[in-house]
Amino acid sequence: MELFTIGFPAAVTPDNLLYCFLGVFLGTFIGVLPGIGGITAVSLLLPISFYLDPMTALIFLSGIYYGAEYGGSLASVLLNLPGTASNAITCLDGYPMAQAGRAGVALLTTKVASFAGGCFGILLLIFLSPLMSSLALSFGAADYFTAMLLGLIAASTVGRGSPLKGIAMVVLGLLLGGIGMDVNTGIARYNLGLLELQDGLHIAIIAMGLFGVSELIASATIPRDKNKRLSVSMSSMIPTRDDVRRALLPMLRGAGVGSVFGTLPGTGQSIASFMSYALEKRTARDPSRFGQGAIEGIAGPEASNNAAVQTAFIPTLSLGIPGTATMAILLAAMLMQGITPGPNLVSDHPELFWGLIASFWIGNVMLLILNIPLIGLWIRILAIPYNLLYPSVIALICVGVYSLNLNIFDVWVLLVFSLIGYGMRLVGFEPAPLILGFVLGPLIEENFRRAMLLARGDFLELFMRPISGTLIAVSAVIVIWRIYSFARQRSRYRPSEAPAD
Amino acid sequence: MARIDLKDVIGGAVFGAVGLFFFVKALGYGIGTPRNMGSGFVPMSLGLAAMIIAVFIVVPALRREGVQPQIAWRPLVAVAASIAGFALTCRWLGYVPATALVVLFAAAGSRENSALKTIALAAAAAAGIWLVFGLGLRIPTPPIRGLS
Repeated sequence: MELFTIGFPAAVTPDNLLYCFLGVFLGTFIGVLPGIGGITAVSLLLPISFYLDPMTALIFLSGIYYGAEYGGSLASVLLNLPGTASNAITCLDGYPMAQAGRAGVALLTTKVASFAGGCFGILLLIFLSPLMSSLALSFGAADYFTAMLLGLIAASTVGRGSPLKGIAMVVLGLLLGGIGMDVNTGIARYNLGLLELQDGLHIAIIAMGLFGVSELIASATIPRDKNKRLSVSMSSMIPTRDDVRRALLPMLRGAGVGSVFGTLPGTGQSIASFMSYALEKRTARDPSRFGQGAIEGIAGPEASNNAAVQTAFIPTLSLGIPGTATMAILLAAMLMQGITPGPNLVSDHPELFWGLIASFWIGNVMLLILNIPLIGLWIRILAIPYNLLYPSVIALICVGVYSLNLNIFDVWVLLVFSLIGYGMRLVGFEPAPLILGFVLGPLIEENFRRAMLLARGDFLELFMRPISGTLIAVSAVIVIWRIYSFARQRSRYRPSEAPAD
Repeated sequence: MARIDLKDVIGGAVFGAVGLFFFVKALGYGIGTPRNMGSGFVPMSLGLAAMIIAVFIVVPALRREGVQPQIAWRPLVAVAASIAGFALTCRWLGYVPATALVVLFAAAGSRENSALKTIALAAAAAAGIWLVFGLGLRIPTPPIRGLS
């Protein structure tokens, strides 16, 4: 299998190993910090990745992504403060375990479950990606267009908020993606007469403004509990036989659940961990233990969200369609490095594809092994007060943005998008679909134009072709279903009882 | 509690306005036909879609109650000022002193930051940034203006 003949040799070069380690280390570090999640971590370190060559950059960024996922679970168990949204479920049973003095076992469980989930996800990645790639080779422009459309619709409408607002954000992202030169005609669009906007907006700046800075502003006012004396010794991590027995099946089930939700565009780690928790609660012999420190309540969700993280790469690498905003940023990073994900990736850049997958496995092993001694370090980091932290992060963001082009204009753009991002949070419009729309905008437009050219302007062609017709139908079904179910959910609660966003 | 869902009304209205802007500008780029699209075709369609969606967001929101958004003024102003401060001083002083400035302004956004802590933090952050960007990545611009 190419994984071993090409992948591992490519992944174990000193540079790639170093950046794999740095990626998971920094990712865990940032994930541990409460209020800063995976997507912010990736955005923060995106500027640094441009100094690296393509494969190393991808290994680095991916390591940050799944490292942050792991780091978030630490804060969930020890502080009841999830580092990332998908770790919120881990708080439910992880924190009670910690309070009962079983923090060590809880942390070990999250590590092992994450590893198991990750491995399962990687296995699926190995087998499904080439399969999907070969299926997609028969895709024409119209099919790509509708596939991306479906991805955008799924990503923007599935989830808690109003599907209309989600679609609105995708449209906004698509519009913003159109800023810059139109490759077909050479006309500079929407650049407001500014030379700097000729090439459009930079994804890193938008991501850092919309996610990073705005999240930091919003989190600054959340009161933090300061007097936590935490200590977890290595020996306290040893689980009892009962623990192992109880945790095994949930891990496997969680890995399965997570893989499904990770591969589907629109659903990601958060839904995966939530579903796993619900499943475990339903299949447990004594559901009342959940919420009080049931080990199944951590094993399942943690395996699930790590599996989802790995399998999220399947549609991104094999089809070029990102399922979540973080994947969109990784996709953008790939495009900027000159790599075009899609069906041709496996054949054009086999060492990159298999090397990346090999690095995922290496990274997961690093997370499992290295975090046992490093747990003391992470705990000390958790103790850093937020008010000291966020100014430094803002500074890092500023310099990071400036380092992209050494252009002050970019910093002003950062300011604008930080304000926009904060404004969006205030009025309850999600930034994630915007990023997806922004990254896919140019690609969608190109495929649409090509499709129309081939179809000689006949829109009905889109519906007639088997693949694109099916995809459009599925998109329509999703939109209608989501609008209907959201409207029903809204009318069930009187507005005064509605949960705050 | 208010009589209207202010969040959606404001958000939807701003969104619609943006859509209108893109729509109008797109007309100037040439629409063309579906077969032979001009630069403006896709933005125009998107702008139009935006305006339609905006209507569907704003109109129901006018008749629905909603929670009022709370603006966290202090951190907002502090962080905005810090980024602006960086933009204004970076070229003039170099990115390392500008970093210190960012920390000083941003830290003012939290009540828990004393002057002493802030200054120490600014110094530490500046040193850290110098290490990472100056010595580590070696970005091609002097960390402190005047230093090569």
